[in-house]
Amino acid sequence: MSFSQAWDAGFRAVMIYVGVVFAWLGLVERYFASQATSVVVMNLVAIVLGLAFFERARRRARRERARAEAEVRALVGEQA
Amino acid sequence: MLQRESTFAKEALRYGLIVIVLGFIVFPILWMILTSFKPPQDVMVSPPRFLFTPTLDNYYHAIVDKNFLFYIKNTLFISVTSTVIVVVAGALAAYAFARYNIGDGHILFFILSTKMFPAIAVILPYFLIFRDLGKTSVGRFLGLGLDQPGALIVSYTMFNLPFAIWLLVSFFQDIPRELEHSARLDGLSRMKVLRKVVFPLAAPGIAVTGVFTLIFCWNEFLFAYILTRKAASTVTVGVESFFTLQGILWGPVAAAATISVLPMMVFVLAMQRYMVRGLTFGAVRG
Repeated sequence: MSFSQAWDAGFRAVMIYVGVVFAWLGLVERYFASQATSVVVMNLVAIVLGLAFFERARRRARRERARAEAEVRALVGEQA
Repeated sequence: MLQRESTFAKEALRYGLIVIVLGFIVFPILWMILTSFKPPQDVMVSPPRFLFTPTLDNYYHAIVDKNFLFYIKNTLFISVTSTVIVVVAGALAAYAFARYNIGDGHILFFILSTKMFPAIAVILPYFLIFRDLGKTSVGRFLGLGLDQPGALIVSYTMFNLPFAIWLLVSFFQDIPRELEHSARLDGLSRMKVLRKVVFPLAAPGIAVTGVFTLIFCWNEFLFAYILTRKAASTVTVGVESFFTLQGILWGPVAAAATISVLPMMVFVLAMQRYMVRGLTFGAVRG
């Protein structure tokens, strides 16, 4: 994963975290009896979603790199 | 084994650096977002609190009590109108500069020179011009008076047009003239060549210019502060309205700032692919 890809994925993961907080406070929190429990669960959900997004981006970047390297190898093989 | 450890150390260093740089860039934004969720008693405490019970009260105050969406609506109208004018006029002017060498480079340099002075230097003449224009019937019809959107649209267009022309000239210069000549030989008029050949090829550059112009218009403060009072105020002036005589309402300020940043952030993220393509357009010449 390149620097810029990690940067981009990290920033988007933070945005996902913030988005989850917005949605949770506006829509979900009212269904919890205790606010403290709601905050803990909200943070857990936001962190898991953010990390999952980052991991997905990392795997996709690796796949793309492997595909590009395979293409280059094939081209070099053809030329040889 | 030693090589594996060295690779791991390199990776750790690399990701460590990424986190540090990311932290420096993102921290102010994160701090603003965090503050927007804080209850009033947690906003200004020292040392700062990172663990608190989040609330949407600041957003409620900004959106419902202060009607902040009104500023968003104003800013959207002014920024988009100004951007459309800048991109259309800038593209036509830049094409002329790139293809016909108008003014032998002197006019192009003169256009750039209008960006060399600070905005504060022209704010008083602009204020007087728009004050007097607003009193005329044409000025009233076009909404060019003080506290009217037309005044800001004209000001932003004037300030962003030189930048747009300069940016677009290099994009048009990178398009081979032979393509235009071929299209002309195929029977297309000059305007059709422009519309069907040149503009589609320069689309990434035009998109980048549009994005930058929109960002400049959206974030501008000085003109909006001096030329508007209430009816045509933009988000930057709206955020300033939370600075009251009783003190600065930091929670609502952060909430309003977050609301005003979000549309641009989403827009730039959506346009990211085109921006990267546009910024690297013409970087490799044969």
